[in-house]
Amino acid sequence: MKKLFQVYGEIGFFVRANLVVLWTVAVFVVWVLSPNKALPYPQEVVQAIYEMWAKYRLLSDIAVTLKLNVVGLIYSTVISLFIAYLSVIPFFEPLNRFVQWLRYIPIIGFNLVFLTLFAIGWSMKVAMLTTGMSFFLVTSMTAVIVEIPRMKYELAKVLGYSDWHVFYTVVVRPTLPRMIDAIAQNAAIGWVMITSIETFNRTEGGLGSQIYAHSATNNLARVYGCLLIIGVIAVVEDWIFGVLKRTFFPYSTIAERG
Amino acid sequence: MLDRFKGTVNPTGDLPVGSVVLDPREKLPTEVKDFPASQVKPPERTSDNPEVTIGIWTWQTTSGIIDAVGGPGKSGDYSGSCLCQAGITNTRLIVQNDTSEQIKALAAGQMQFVTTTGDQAAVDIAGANKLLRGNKAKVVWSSGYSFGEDCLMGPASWKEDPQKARGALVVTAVPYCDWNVTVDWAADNQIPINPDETVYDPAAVNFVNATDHIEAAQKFVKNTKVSLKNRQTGQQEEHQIDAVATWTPGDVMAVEGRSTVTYKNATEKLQKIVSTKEYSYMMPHILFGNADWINQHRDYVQTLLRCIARSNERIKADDEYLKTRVATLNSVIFNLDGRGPNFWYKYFHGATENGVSLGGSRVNNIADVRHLFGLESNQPIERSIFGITYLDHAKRLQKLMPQRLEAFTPVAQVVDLSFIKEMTDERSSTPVYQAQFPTGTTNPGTVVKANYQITFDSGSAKIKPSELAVLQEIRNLLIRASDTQITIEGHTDNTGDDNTNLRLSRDRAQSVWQWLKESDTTGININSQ
Repeated sequence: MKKLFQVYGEIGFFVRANLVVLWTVAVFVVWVLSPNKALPYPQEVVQAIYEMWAKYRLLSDIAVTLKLNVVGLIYSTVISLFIAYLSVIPFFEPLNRFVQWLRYIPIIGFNLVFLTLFAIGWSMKVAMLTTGMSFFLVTSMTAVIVEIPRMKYELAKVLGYSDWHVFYTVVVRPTLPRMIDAIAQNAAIGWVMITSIETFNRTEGGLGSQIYAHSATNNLARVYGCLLIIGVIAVVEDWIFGVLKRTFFPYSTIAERG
Repeated sequence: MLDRFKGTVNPTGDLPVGSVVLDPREKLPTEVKDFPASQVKPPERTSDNPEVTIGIWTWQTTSGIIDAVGGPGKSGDYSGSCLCQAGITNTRLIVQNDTSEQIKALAAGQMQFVTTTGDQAAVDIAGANKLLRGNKAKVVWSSGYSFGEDCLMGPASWKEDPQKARGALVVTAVPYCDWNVTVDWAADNQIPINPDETVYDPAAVNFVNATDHIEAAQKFVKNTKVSLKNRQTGQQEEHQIDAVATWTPGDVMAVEGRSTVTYKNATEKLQKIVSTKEYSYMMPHILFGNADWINQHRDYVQTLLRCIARSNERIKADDEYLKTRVATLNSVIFNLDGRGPNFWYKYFHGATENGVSLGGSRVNNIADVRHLFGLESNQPIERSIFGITYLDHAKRLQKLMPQRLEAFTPVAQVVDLSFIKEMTDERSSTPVYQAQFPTGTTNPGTVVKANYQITFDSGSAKIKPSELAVLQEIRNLLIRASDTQITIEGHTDNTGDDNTNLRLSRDRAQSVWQWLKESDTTGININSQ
């Protein structure tokens, strides 16, 4: 019991699992007993999910949003990796800094630009999500690169490595595992953006579109239903990123445990 | 003027998302002068002075509410305002065009009165009652009518032949008041409506969503393409936006930004196709609150409504007052860049620019309010103008988009007309609005071009019970679309002599006319010429 409250207290798997259950129950109790009557109760949210599933093509909406999330993530990862790694070359550094600065601007602020360049629908959604996510991903990836000790670079040069060899050995390869963490964080940011992007582009439906529609009619049970589904997807995505990291970069997780 | 009032977005963090409250840094230069000869007396002072926030839109039907409060701060900041003089000093306004956000604030106790429209009231009140957990949302007042500013703008040829709109793509805030204007017009012209935003139907009027009237105008002006799956072919296609349903200043933005439309390979002038000028009774402003709070503050509510009635009476009767004070107040409260007092004054009355009519609002005096809720005809609320617009649009939305309105509160349960009924000493110096049609002329353009078939027994001009449904549909259309004229034609079969048949056809047309006139309990304008 004492270990539960110690700094880095060692607890076993069974205790840890029970803690998860305990906190889940606590959240539900607070939810049910909340004096704010405007909040829907858990059973209302469950009922709302069932209704959306049975009557209003919830599965299709999940598929639409998930596809957008994955495609946006892939595009923004490729683009951001490129811009982040190029930051070590002086010529491209200002571009990198400019993209980082853009993360302060809400993606909806660029609405009129996207309206001019893309058709409302899939292409605009992908463009908005990719752009918005890249602003953040470039920032977090560049932060990883900045932390590389300059000494490693000097050492590689002394060993007679070419520029590109140094770039790969010192910059790219050691940072890839941490890039997975950065991408995982970015996936969450993507989910935040999706609501407004799918509200602006409702032609395919999607969870974001549904959140907007149900919020506009104050059907908050359905709004929370959609949010709960996003929460579950996010947990699964986190787990997938963890698996990817352990599979492709097992040494990094060993190092972390150490 | 505008420079003196800088808006701050939610400075204390206690306001609904996206709402704007303005700082009262200086007193407004236009003080309230003595009220001119009028039969509306000032309200008595009240000691009930709670903290009150009233949600409004960027909509000039609320001019009387704005004038009664007196400015962008609390009513107590404006010593000349009606509310301040009546002892109410803690009332302020918040501009929030999204009523769903106002409703969340109402449920959280941060807002006491919410603005919506008669046609949109069912969906908003259903949402409010969900959050308030009971039939607690009560309509207490209406401050005016949209009178032209809410509109559908599209290729000019639709004005002559509405059927040309089949296959068009309209951008608007789905499924709110401007969507209702478009859907009413399409349905009344018997044009199919495609409520599914994810597919394109070449035979129907299609919609693409905007979150508000400004975004709708922006998407229209940018001539953005929209990628949609064709319902008939199953192919993914790109379509341009052909029309916009919006309201002032969205209508002004649309005509300024894209004055021509290329529709089905022909370039045409952008024209206002239909608006609340024609559907002149479909969109009253509606003010509602939480019954629990209202019943705790009856003195306050009574005083507030008397002040609004008094302001509206003056706005209606005194154009100089509208021009010099109210338009200035509106420009400060609405706080839209480049839209000063002259803009709001001009588009209050409406203006025709380059052949396109823009803007148009009306405010209600006490006679208009009583008329709207049917208090003069002693009929059930379902038969009032409010009842008809509430029920007609609720049923239509339920049919087209059931997921947005699965159930709505019966109209008799959503009104608390006790405050209006208590204003028995109030009289209005200006009459209730009534459409005027110059003798021998017709309204310019076509609003509705549709045939309603009413059948009779052979040789008879008597209305059959089986025809009542279609007659009620026509009557409700005439009430919602008060500023339109219709032609009733009677026909007979070929049997019998011509003179008898001619007389019978006239009698049949007369029967229909008589039924419509007698069944109109609102006394709007079912008049013959």
